[in-house]
Amino acid sequence: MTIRGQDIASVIKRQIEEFGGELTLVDVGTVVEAADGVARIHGLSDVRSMELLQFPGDTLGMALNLEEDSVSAVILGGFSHIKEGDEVRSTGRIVEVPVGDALVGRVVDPLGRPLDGKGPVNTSETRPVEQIAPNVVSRKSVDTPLQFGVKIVDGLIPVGRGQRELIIGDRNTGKTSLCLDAIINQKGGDVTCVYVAIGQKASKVAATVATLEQHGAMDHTIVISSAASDPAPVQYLAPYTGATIAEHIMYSGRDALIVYDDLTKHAWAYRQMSLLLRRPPGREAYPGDVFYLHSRLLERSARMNDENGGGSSTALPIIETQAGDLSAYVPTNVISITDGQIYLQPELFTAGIRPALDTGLSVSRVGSAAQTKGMKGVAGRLRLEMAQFREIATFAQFGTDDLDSSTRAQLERGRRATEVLKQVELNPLSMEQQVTIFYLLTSGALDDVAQENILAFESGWHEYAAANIPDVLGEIASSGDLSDEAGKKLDEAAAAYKQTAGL
Amino acid sequence: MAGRPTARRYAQAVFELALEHDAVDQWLNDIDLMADAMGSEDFFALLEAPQVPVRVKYRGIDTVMAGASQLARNLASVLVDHRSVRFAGAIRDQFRALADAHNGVARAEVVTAVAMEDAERERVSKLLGELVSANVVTTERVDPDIIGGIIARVGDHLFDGSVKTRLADMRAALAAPPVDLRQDS
Repeated sequence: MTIRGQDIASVIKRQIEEFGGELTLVDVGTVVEAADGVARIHGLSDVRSMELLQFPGDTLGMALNLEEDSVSAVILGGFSHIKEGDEVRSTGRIVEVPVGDALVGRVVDPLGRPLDGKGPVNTSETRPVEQIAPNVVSRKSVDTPLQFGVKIVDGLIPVGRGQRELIIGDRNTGKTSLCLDAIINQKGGDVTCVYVAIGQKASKVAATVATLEQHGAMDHTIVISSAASDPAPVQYLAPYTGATIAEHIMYSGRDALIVYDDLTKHAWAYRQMSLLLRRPPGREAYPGDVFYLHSRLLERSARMNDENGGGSSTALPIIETQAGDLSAYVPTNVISITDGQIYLQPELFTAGIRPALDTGLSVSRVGSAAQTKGMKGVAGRLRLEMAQFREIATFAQFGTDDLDSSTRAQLERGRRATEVLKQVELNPLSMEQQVTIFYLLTSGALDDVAQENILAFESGWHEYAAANIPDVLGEIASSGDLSDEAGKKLDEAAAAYKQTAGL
Repeated sequence: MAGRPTARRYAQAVFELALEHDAVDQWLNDIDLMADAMGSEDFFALLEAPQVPVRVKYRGIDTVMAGASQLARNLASVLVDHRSVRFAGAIRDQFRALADAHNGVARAEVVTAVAMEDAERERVSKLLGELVSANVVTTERVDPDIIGGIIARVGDHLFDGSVKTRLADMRAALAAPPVDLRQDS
């Protein structure tokens, strides 16, 4: 976008003409106390909650506690220069952020200011960060899959557009990687992604952005970054900013995917802010409204019905647990708000099963409604077999000699399924590729392949299938279904592939 | 600043009494006298000292505030009883604010780059009076930093017509993204 010389000249002309114009009337107050990023202000009698305040030195604040005698505001940014007696002006604006397509590919802070050095964000549209979630009548139930490109998720824990699926697990279990897989898999698709980093190390955010750029995923992604060094109020705002930007996409009838990484740190930031604002502490010193903090955020993700544009906003909140404690305060809160959770287990991770998804504790409450017909067919059987395998595996650890042949066959099938469900990170598979491998697994074509050869079999198979049966893959991709005829062709192709590969 | 709500409640009570007795001006003087007396270090120490009998404190009040009305002396005694002597100054401020509001008087601080002339002063008071619909009593301050124009503050409201602010606004408008420019033209 170029700036035409006359545009600037016309603006200057207008400014000069209006120079002696009307007086501006603003509400003002005086700082009576400033500490720890919170200022108590006398005056500002007409200020509204969540209104932006102008502190000296180009610093913004947000009015939060409106009391009889004073207003408590959090300072959004550096606060060391703010002192008693400073004048504070109200701006008349409720906290708002820029929205729109100009943000795509950008890294911005929670107030929408660019952090990537690529110049200003060229958008004039803004939305208030606090919004009421869409109501019941404007919503529709989730029915379209949001492909992660990860076999174990798309097969066993399918996520649909407009769903809220929690990613929960200890540190270093692959929570962020799983979400990055999901973002990268939207490449070339119709889903715009928003990645919100809350209180993370700046180096980790930089690495994440680099990964996304490397895989060409920044072309459909917006990153909102609040680093660990940012003041708590800025970290507090970050997810709401992300939700607002995603909402704008949803209300314009398109699909958005938003990742909150992570809400544990968000709760910490809010706890700090609340304690400094002298709000009463509750359990684990969190304020009483920490549930509402996350419920009002996640409720803003929805699938709109056709009268309202049919857009969607899918949320993937991340929660980090301490030593696998799912029953701590914040994890239980978020589990109860979301439509299911993906639980990543450190034991599985160290055992080399990656993604380290615990198929017993993970669930998607939307279920197979968010799967294509073909996937539903093969994944339904897979899910059943995995459940039976988990049951038998507990007994089988004492030895398999006494088991009857059908049980032993189930065990073998389960072990192969576990192998098939392993997947290297940042390597998404398309829906049709997943359907073919699940079909081979459940139809028994893999039963005579040794367990340790499964991974090699699979990587070769996808290449073989792309080269030899592109028509079958194309049919699955376009119809979303796996016909009997296509199944037969797959059987034949698998037999031929086994011969050529010698597996 | 602490205790402002407390002071407001005392001031409200006193103001209602003053209205009932139609003696707002008398009370303004009396409260002034009381606040000045209680503001003096020695008298404050005497009223706050726990070892001094209350009777002696009352007598002290009667002596110091001999010129004040009986009700005003009662107020001082009540403050002693409630251990709220330290709020005397704040009560005076609040009472003045209530009296101002009652009399339709607003106090404004006017900042200019150069000292105003009498005619300008009159015009400013008149204009401000129209804006807030009250009789405006101004205090003036000269601050060359604002370059030109005028800044007036009445209560919580600020009328900012300074050249400094205008320049800052213009700078912000010019630095805004070009999309804004297109919408303007």
